[in-house]
Amino acid sequence: MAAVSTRGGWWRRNWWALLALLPVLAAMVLVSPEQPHQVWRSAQPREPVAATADGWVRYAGARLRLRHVHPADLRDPVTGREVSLPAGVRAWQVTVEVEWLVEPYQALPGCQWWLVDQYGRRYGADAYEVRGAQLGVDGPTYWASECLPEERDTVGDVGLLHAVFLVPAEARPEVIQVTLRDRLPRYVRFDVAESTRA
Amino acid sequence: MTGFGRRVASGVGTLALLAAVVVSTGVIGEQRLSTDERYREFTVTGETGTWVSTDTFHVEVRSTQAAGVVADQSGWQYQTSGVWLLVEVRLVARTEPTTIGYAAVRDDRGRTWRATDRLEQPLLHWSYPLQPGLPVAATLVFEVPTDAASSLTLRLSKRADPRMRLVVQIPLRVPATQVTAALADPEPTVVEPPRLVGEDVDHPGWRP
Repeated sequence: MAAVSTRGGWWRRNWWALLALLPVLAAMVLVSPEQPHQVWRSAQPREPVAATADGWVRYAGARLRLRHVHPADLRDPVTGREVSLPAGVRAWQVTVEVEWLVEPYQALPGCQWWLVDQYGRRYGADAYEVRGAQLGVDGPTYWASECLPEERDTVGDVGLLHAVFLVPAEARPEVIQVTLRDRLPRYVRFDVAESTRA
Repeated sequence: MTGFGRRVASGVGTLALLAAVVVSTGVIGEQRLSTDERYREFTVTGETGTWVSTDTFHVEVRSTQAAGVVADQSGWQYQTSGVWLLVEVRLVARTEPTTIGYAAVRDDRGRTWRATDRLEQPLLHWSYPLQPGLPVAATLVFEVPTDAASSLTLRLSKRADPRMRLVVQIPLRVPATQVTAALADPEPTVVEPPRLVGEDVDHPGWRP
């Protein structure tokens, strides 16, 4: 019988089995009834919906387009006076055009808005301190940016949605995201161009 | 060693390994950890006056005050048969909005008291998200027995159920003399609502 070299013997005899472990482990993740990969995928907004050339994004029964991002003019709804914020805090108002492609109350209700700054920090809309403030001197009272339509809106109407964010003064809005929990990982992403940032 | 000897040694080694796996599986299975042990939290410990960080927020305990009577913003007064503890904290989210779902104090006997719900504490509600880079000053209010007040540790976490989560633990400094003096004082201590403190605060989340 020919002599068998023992150098690296175990590894040499079993390298194929060790290699086969990799696809087996991957298959375990893919076929698991608990679908860990799907759970991971849909936990965060990972897949932005592509916008058309004119900036419209079709998402969850609506078309959306970023109108502008500008410093918010927050007013006390009773006195009309400016809402004062502490030094170092800035309020941004985001306005998005929306066209309802389905019954408006079935399109986007419960949506969440996010503002991402130049450092990648993500802010939620509806900070406690700005709820109930008036947007501008003659503007609407701001409660929550849940993508709810105007009362009389119907299919085919075009309206405006607003969201207000409080951020540190040095934060520059770079990206606006709109997400719906049951649509994740797909989400709306607007890159904030200089032209839309007042 | 001959080829036959190597095959025997290899077989014995394989059997020994299999036996070791079976035995160790049995040993692990016999450990019978309780649910609390299996799902125990991960703790980060700090102290009053320094920032402590979790994966989602930074917190600093500024001071702790005892009171016999507290009052809310509307002037409504709250008595207690124990003592009120008012913990002044500053909090800021790291890179995403977050909430404080769990706020409790635990004494040296392992007894735990959640933040009181007799007063409105907006910070501990899901509708008060902390934002990155925007520190909030707040008072957390606890109602505890007098005999526990001097040996308490503050516990904070993101979720209402802190199991398998990061929990900040910060021992509180409340001398027994302060508790006695507070109980003798009939004047109510007014609980201030949480407020943004902007750039007045130097905190670890100020620059990413």
